[in-house]
Amino acid sequence: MAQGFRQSWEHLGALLARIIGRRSPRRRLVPGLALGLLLLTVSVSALADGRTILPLAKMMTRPERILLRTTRADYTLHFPFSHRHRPVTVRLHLDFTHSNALIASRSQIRIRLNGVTIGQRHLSPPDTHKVLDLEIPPELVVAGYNELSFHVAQHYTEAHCEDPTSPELWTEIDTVRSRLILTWRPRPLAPRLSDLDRLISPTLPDYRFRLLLADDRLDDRQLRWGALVAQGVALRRDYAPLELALAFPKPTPTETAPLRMAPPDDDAALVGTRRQLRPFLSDSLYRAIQGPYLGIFPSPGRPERFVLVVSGTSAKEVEQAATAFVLMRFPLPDTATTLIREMQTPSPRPYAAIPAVEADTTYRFAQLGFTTREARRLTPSPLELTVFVPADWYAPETAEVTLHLHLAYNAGMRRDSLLEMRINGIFERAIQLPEESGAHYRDYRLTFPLRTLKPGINRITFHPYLVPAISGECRFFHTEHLAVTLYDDSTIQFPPVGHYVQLPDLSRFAATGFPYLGQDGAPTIQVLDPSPDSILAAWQLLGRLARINGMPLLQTRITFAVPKDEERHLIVVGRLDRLSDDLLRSAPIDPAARWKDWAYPAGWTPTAAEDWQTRLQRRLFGSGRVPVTLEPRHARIIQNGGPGNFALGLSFGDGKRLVTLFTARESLYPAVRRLTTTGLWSQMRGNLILWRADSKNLHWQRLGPSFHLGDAAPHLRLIFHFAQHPWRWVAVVLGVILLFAWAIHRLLQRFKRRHHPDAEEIAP
Amino acid sequence: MDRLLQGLLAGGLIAVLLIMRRRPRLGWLRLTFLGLAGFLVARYFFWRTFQTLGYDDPASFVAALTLYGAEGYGILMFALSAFVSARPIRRRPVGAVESWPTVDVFIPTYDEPVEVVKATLVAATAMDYPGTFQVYLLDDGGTWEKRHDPDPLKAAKARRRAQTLRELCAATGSRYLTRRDNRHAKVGNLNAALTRTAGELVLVLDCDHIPTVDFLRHTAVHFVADERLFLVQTPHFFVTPDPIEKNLALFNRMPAENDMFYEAIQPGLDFWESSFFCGSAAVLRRRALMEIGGFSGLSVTEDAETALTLHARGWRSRYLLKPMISGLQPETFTSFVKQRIRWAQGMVQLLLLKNPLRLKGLKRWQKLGYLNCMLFWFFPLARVVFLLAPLCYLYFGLHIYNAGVREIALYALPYLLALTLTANYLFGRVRWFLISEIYETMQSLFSLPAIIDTLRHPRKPRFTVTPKGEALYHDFISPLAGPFYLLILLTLGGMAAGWLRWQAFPDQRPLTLITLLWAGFNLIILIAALGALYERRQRRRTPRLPADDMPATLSIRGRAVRVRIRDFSIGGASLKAEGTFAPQGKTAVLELSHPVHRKVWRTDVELVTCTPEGEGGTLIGVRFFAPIPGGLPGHRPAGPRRQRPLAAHPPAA
Repeated sequence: MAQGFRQSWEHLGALLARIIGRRSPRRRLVPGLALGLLLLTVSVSALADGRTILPLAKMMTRPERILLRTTRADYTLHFPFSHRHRPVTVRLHLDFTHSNALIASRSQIRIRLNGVTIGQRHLSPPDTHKVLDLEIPPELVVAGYNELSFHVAQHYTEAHCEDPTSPELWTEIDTVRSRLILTWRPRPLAPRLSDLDRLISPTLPDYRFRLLLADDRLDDRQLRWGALVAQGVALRRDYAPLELALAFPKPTPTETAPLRMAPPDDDAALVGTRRQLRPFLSDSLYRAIQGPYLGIFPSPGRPERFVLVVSGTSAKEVEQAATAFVLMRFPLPDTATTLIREMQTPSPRPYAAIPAVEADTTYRFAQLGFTTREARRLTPSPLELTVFVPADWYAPETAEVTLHLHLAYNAGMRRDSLLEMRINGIFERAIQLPEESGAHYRDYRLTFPLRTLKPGINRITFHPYLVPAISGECRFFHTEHLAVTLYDDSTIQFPPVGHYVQLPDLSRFAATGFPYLGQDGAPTIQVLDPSPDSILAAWQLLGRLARINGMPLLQTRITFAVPKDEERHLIVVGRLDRLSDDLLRSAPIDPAARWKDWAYPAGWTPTAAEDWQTRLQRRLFGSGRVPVTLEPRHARIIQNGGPGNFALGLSFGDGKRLVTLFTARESLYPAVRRLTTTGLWSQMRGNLILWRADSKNLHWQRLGPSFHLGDAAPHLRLIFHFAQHPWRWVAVVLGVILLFAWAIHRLLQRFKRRHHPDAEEIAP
Repeated sequence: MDRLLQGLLAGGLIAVLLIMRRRPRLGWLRLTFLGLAGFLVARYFFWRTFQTLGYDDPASFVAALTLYGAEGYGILMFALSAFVSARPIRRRPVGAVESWPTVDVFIPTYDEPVEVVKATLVAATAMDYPGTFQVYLLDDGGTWEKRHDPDPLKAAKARRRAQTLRELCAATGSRYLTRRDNRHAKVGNLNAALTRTAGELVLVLDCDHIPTVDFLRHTAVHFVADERLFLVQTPHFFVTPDPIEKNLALFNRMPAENDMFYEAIQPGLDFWESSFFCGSAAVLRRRALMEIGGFSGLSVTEDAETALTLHARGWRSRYLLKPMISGLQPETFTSFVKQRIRWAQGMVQLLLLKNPLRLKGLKRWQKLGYLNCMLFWFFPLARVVFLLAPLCYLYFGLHIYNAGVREIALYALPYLLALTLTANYLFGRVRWFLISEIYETMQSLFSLPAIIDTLRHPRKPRFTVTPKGEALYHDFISPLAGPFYLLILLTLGGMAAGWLRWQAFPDQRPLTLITLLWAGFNLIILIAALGALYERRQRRRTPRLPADDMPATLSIRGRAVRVRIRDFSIGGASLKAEGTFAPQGKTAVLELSHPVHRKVWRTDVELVTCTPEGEGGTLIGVRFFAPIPGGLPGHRPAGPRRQRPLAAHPPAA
């Protein structure tokens, strides 16, 4: 903040000096003072300017320390900057440590922003821990994503006679302490509907979106409008945190502005029928709403914010307008308002909404978003292919995914160069690149078990480890030519599978939204009470599911009432005291009951000791894990103590459907908002979770019975069943063989009676 | 299917198989055993087909497919073998009949030693049969062509041999037949005899196959009961070891190699109406033979071919599991291999030229029975692949088998155990563990080129006579040992390469270890084979026959001593006397009664050895003064009552 002040006054001083310099001292006094006062006002308003402190770790998908090895290494990060802001100051605080074996004259770190070098520093022992503060020209920061890269040259000898991979060549950047500090000033908006994606983009830090409803007597219609708008915001925010707010504005008499209301604190959507919104609309705007209507306007008195009007002449038209808002992900229309006459939405189809792979199908990498890429030099970045696996795939253990890779690698690489394939960070297979004259492989076949993939997003990464053919100390050698290219016409083939899954399983829900994003493509959500807290929690969850789906969940039913359709899977959101016995009749626990039957972990029951194969492998080769499968045991303590400040998630089977409940005694929305952040969401396991609004971790348990869901082929169902009950499989096989043997025995007896009545059976 | 499940299943089934081995091997228990083992085999096959075949590189792919093919062959043979062995049977004795059919006994000979032929002739003429029978010696070594060979030495030898055999026939009451030339070898010889004889039945005896006196009584009677019966085959029992038994010193300590065929497979084939003619020790109906123009000679295995042709015409066969002949095995490994190559070539010829699957008239089960017998002879292809496959990995790192240790433990190991247990279950009493591996490995290297040649030229192979009655005067290493030296060296080199691979590729150690174990197993078999190729000397030209301590009396200068005959040969006998025995001269009279007629038989003998034995006994070696006596025990020279004139024309079919 202090930095912001300083910058503002510096600007003011410079501006004043320039203006004063053009005029005579007498004549410039009044305007100068006026300008001074004006600028002072502007300066004061700069108190409201934003400041973003962005640790480098937050720029990474998986936060880790940046370790730069070898004589030459680099690392690139990306950070967002919204086009709604103008950068005022940019400063990089860099905290790093380097090896004490480096020599200062030849070792340095260089920092670049969007391709421009913004600073450099010698890496000089003995002071190996360094802190660097770099002032960055703000004009280097662009709207959208900016590239911040670190490059090191590291040497341990003055002579050009060293091993470039020597272990003492390293520099480590602390990504938590190192941070980028940006101050920015909001730009006034002249919003258009085509700007919606940029206005609600993930580049905005600490963003909150407010839904404004005219009537505080909420019903199912308003619940659905809000659900649609929330999804529109969530999808546009993409990976960034989503924060919603709900308000009921008061009309204010303003003649000129299209909207007659106090400026909301955030970007907002004013949602309601034309009649409901009449007090907040100017006459011309009111008259303009002749059907489903979308209009975007600067917020009254806050030109850096906007208000989206979602309205229509009837409730149905409002819903159509809200649906249009969710679907309009292309920069049209380039106007501030639009009236919708007709709308066609795609019909839901199983798995069609999810950008997921399908069984028994072959995909080119390009179809999965991979473009032909080259990895170059000693430590190139991995090449990554992302696939989304549906949650309910079930296949035999032997089912395999087959990759047919199209790749090429350069000449002059040693035969121990290789391309390592990892699945979700775990090593799976490797391709040796043994030809020193380089090679071009088409249809290089790799297989791995389908079960290696988990439900949801899977990252198949190819890590090149490239070594020059000539290397070693005191030898000149290149590393630039170390290159491997993976082409996007490589293919990945998935085997036939069934759809069969054991529920409840909150980890599956977290990864894929299953079963709510399964066959019928949308959940039914019951909100137990009309409090903003519960409503926002429901919208927030729906927004998270829409993000997993990648498409809006238009078929979602959201209601305050008890859903009549008992076939559809249900999400229930609401306060703890509104839970009914009827809802919880199949639940393993009743958190709202007077006497609560809480389960406490009480050790584990090993279900299988080390099997003979693993034991043999371990004894022979000294490797192999000890695969003891542990089932949790619980102590049950029935008591009147409740969950207190914890929010609680519980998933259980109710007939053929799954019910997932999110509840808290109070402040449910902050807890649910916390839950939907990536860090906590991915921790969901079992079927009972507990967490707080400020938790970094959640607690989970598996309680109660499970059930199966799916439409697997009969043989897969059998496999699944027997995988759960192996002795039954053995018994069935034995039974079938005995029956078979008996039947054949009878036939042979008959044959013998007919053909060899005078012979006797013998056992040689 | 999950690994735990597969492990439980495989382990459970193997346990059940182990338990079932101790139960009676009959009826539905036998089928259950085969069903359980078959399940494990089928499970392996599916896993192997759908999970382990993949393309890595051309060389690996070819090697992997070859190994897969060899395994597929093994699995097919398992299935056929299980089918054939599902219910082996034994024929119950048939009672006496009023009218016994007339029988011609054919003893074809070519160049075997006269002593060998002599024993057979004497025994054949001594057979006890209520009906009429006539023994014919069919001499293909004394044909006009042979006697007039351009080489005067050969011609003279043939004339001498023919003359000796004529005299022998005259002495034993049998008839000597020969022909103008040697066309079609043994088949031609038999068919020539068929045209000159007229008996209702024909007994074929190899010239070294000595029949028991009751042979015809037990066999001919079946033809009376069944008018459509064309064959009664009996087992071949050998009184000499085959070269492998002899060289490994396992004779009489383990079941003979051919026991498996004659005691297990033929009874199984008999159930499926597919027991077939084995060239000797079998009685055939002349009418059936003449219906197809005599013995078939398209292949070099005329026996199986003849049976196949007659089965296809609706004639029936029976297998009488009662050893009633004793024969000689080839003495050297070279002769043994020669014999087996002929069998292999003949069966491959049959498969190609008279494929049972396409042959009209055969019943479905007969097709499978014959297919089993024919396909069996392709084992050299699989054996050689199994010998070389591990080397492909150890030397060149070829991916011949795409599976991890766990999969191998879960699928391959139970499969191998199932195969081993099944072999033990079906044939354990007639075949020792691993003996098949040694026999098949030893034959494979030499049979393989012959099989490939036959596949290329199915009509090329010609009949060759298996040498019998050879004598080996010193120990020597078989000239056929060369390939085994090479394979042993290759395997040892492969194991050394495996050790290097173990060091260089720690990630491949499980697979390397498994392959090393495989190569080690091959090495053991190869070394055992090499041991069996060390030919031990065999001076005795006439074999000793066990006499089961038959009681006899030895009279020396009027003093009678009770003795037991331990064994005997055409030239002498080994006796055992109770107590100390001091001979009072060089000659004696041996007196014993005929086992069937109970008539007393005496002969003069020369005392050769007299050795005290432990427990107060004495071993006495005697030599017969008249090795071609007027009659051996029970011998009744065929008198005029039993003689029939030679047929001028072949009898009507």
